[in-house]
Amino acid sequence: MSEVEETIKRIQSHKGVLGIIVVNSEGIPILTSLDNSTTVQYAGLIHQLTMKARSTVRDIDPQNDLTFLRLRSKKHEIMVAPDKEYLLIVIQNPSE
Amino acid sequence: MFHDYESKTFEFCSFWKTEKKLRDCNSQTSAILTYDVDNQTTRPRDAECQTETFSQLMKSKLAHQDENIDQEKLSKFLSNVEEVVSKQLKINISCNHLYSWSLKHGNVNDKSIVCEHVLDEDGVKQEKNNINKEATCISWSGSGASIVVGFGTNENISWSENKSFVCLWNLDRPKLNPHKCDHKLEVESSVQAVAFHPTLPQYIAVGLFSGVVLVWNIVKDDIIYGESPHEDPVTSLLWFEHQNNKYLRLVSGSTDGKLISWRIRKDKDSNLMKIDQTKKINSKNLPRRAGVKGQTAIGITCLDSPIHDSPLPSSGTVVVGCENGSVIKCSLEGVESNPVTFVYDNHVGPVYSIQWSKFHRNLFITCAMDQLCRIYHALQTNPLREIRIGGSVSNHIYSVCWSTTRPCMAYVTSGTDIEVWDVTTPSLILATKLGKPPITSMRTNPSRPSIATGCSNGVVQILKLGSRLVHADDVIKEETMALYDITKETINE
Repeated sequence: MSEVEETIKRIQSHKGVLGIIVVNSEGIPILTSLDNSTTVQYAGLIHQLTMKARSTVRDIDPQNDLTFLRLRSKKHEIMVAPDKEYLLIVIQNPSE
Repeated sequence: MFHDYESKTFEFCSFWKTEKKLRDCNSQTSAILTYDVDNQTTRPRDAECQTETFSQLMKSKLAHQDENIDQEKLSKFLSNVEEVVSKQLKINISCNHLYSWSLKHGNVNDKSIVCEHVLDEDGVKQEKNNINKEATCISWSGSGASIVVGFGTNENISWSENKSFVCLWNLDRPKLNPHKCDHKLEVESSVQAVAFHPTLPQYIAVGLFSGVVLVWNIVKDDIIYGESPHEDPVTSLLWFEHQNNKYLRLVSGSTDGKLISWRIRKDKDSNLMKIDQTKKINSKNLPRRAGVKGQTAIGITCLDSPIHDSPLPSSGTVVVGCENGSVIKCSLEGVESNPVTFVYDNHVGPVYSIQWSKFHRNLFITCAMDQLCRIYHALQTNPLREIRIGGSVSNHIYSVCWSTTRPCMAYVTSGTDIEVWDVTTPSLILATKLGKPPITSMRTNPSRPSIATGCSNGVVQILKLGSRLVHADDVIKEETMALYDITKETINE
């Protein structure tokens, strides 16, 4: 528990990080630093997008796999690190 | 003497009359078969069911999740991922330039027009005996990154065969040399019109004083000449969409009154551009109020066509400004040689520039020698708005352009100044002085906030527009409504 918490705190201490969400393979958020409704929204949408991105990469080359996904928007950047069982979503506002 | 006498009646049987004999007879139909069948209808019953919304489901699972988390796996995952993510986070903080454009836009009230580049081609200036030194026409590429300038002279009196140039600059190049253009084309006569193809930037159409229309293919460094030239200088060129994807379509207008539709085959190397059709505007086809007598051709000085969905005009409607001041709506469809469909009220003096509004399908703006800029509605002869451009009479207003982002804004060149007008009232928003030589042509960049102006000494200035002049998100609805309101005035009259 403490190790997990420490890691989350470390990631969150970077400049501009607005929030972190850890999602499991079903798309259900396990850990979050944001409020419930935002978490649920991000988890559902980003999980679907990551699945789509992963399947795109694998369709083009079946031996390839998705390692990192970045979504840059006007207001902030969403970074997604996928894994076999979990998904880490970090939202950062770099221009602070 | 007279008695009543009754004679005896005599009876006899008729030979042919007989008694009708009747007999009763029965007939029988088959029995009607009937069956009994049972049928059952469903009887509905109300039942209630309750589902949870997805978010509630998530929340409930979230609450129970703590028990099921495999802490080991989770910590392992996080330690793997932390490195990658931290690295990216740090990179994002350090490289700010991606987000810095949002900081630039912070100054929303910037109304300035600032000169970014001054392009002055040495090769043209240093050419001996060259009278073709004015930047007569400019065209931006569809992406807004390249600009092509045609050099020539607007003071041609007699037939000139002096060679002239067309220069191309790519403004995005880090090593932009304002004194040397990226591509140069030498042509045999003064250039009067240039047009970049909006979607295929390798094709540049050039119209010359000698009436020749040619297309310069930058990629192959090849020139395609039109099969036969106009009889008089070509004044305007416009790329159209061709129904067939293999061809390109170009329309050229000239002071000989002809509108020629050209077609170019894209893939095959051809040296000649073929003519699809020619239409000529003749004064006999204009009504009397246009004020032209006789049977002469009406010279065309500028033309434009509305753009609806595609980046290229595809409808055959073209609105044309003429040498005598007439503003005419023409149709390129059909086989008649007379293209005129509607004639608007004249200007006094040649119409120098005409442009359809991107924001309203029926409005266009014109400017002419009579120092007036007029806004016409396509279905009405008299103009909706007239803007009198101030300044001395010698200030020629050679160009007028709509703003690419704000529906009610138009840019007008007046002598050496650029004036920015709000056409709804109409009122002058801003006037910028640019320097000595009078501006001969001006074009707005289709995708970036800048304007290019060409002057009579051959210098082309690229001006950056302040964000207040460009940024339209907050005012676009009001301005589009204001534009529609102007048009409503006509219907009520």
